[in-house]
Amino acid sequence: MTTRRPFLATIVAAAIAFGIHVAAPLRGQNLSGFTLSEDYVVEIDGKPTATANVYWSQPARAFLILAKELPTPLLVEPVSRQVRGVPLVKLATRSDGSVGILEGAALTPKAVIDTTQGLARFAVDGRTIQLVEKPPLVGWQTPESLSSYSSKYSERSAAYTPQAAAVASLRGRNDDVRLTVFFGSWCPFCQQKVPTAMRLARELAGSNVKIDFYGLPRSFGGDAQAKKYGIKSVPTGVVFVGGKEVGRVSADGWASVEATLARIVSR
Amino acid sequence: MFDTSSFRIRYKAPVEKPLLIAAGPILIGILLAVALWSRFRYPISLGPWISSEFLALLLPIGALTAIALLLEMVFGVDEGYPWQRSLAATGAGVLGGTLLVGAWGKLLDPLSFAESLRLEGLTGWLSGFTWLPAVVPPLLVVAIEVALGALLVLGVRTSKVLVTSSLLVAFFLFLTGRAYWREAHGVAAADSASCGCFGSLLERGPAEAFWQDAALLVPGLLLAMLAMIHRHAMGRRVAIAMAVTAAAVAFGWFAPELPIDDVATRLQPGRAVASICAGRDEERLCLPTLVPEIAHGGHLVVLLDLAEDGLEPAVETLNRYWLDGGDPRLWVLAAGTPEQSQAFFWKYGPSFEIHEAPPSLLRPLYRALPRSFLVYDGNVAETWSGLPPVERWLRDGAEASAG
Repeated sequence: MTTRRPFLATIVAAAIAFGIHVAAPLRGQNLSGFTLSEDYVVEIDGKPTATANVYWSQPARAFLILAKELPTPLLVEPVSRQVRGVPLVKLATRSDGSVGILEGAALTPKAVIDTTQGLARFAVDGRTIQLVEKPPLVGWQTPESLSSYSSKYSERSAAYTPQAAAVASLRGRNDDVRLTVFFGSWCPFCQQKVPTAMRLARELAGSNVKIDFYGLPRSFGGDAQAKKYGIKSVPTGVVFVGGKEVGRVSADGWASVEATLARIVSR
Repeated sequence: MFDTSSFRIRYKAPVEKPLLIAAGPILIGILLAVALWSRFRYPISLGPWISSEFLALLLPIGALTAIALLLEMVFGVDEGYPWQRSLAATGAGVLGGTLLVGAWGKLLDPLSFAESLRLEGLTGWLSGFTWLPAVVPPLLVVAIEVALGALLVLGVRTSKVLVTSSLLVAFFLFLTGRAYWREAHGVAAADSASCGCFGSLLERGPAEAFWQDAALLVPGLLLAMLAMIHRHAMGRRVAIAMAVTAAAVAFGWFAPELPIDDVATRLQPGRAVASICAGRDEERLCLPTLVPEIAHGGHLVVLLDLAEDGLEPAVETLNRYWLDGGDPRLWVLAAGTPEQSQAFFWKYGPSFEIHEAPPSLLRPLYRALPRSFLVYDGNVAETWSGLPPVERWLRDGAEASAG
């Protein structure tokens, strides 16, 4: 009997210390710089959640998920495979639009990430949550649909300056020229180069040169359009003059799509 | 062995078919001239299958053939007419030179050749021998190539050597011919599945490989048979060839550990990044198209294998460099599949961006990954096998700030 009280006190003190330890942010961890990620969507219990926002922070190397279906925002850390709850009041939006977690926020462990099936999956409060890659853009697209899909397309398109001489040469064409760009929204190289074609399309608005865009799925070998045109890599631009294929823009041709297109149509 | 009087007598009377006697030396002279011009003056490309890279190969082959001709003129055994021996020595020199040049490329990176053998399905029967070092099967093949090549250059045109050479030539043509047939009939090869952006972007098409091999190997073999050696012992030459083979195998055994990446790969200081390319014609893709920024200023490029285990220390180091705003700017290139990229991301959570590149662009740049290089204004300034000394730069930077 005389030993039980000190023993219980030790247990309680240890529990309090443990609770403080696990409910606090790690010392020195930079939990700021979360910017909106357009690469992932959140599925809750197998259904995509349109209202959920996924943020990614390079310094923190973590995702922050905010969804009205979830009681608290979730901090998802790939490296430690931990999912922790973040008090909503401890989130702050910075002047540059990024989100940060305030100092002293008590982060509560919620789950462990399972990536065995190629997705990031975990269970929180009885609900199964998955972070999946955004479905690709498939089929005929417009510059507007590309910009809606990801702001990277419109940002990169605005930042690109086509060669004036090539644009002028294309504007002066009297025959009908069409460039069909086959691309993959999942393909990083396409994300760099397709915006240049979008910018060229804008520069050539009102001329006889038209540019259209066709999105392919990841395994595009089975896609009917890809088979019809023999597409082996993306992005590939098929050039038609008067309805007849006269050349292609691929690989190094994308270094300057306008110069390559001007060279092909003038052959 | 060398008797000038009998040498003169042999070539003086009877003088038969002088043009045929001279054909070999003239052909070699033309090949060497074209190869030297292409290498040192102006790169020549005679169509899609005779590129400047192919012509660069003719330089060592031509030199070895010239040695074979010289050895034939000075030490040649007296079997056959002079014109037969001249053409046979030329053919044997071209064939032997091609085998030796091919073997040299394989010796510099035997593990890459081992991977090629595995992809061709030639080493599946060895899968049970887990104790066998990976370098053994390629070294066995290379040993045969070097031995035959050396024997042919040294003028050992016996029936055994020529029959074995015929089998080896047939084997090489079978491999390239099979790939050619598969491509022509739309059967995808194991390493050209359409995954990722770059699908089946290839460096050397199967058709090109087949016809180039056929052009180099078959005529040489047929010419070598014009003057087979039946009656003379060639013990000394065989001993020299075996010694060369033993030295080659020893080199190949230790090659993976030797610091010869700058020699064994296309990535070396001084190289322009604009010349780091894959594919031909419309499918040609060069590094500056993937990463336009590296054409100007200073850049640090790291090549990674996303499927490799134990990359935590490397990723941590690169993360710190990236988050510190390291200068020069860091670019990480990898040839992984989308699944490998995702798995890498969820395993290591890198802060830096990984740029996808086609395997055919990256493979010639390394023997083992990671490999890194520094670029200044579009030229490779320094290379490292492994990661660059980022830790030291970070430490020096921290000390400089503190000071």
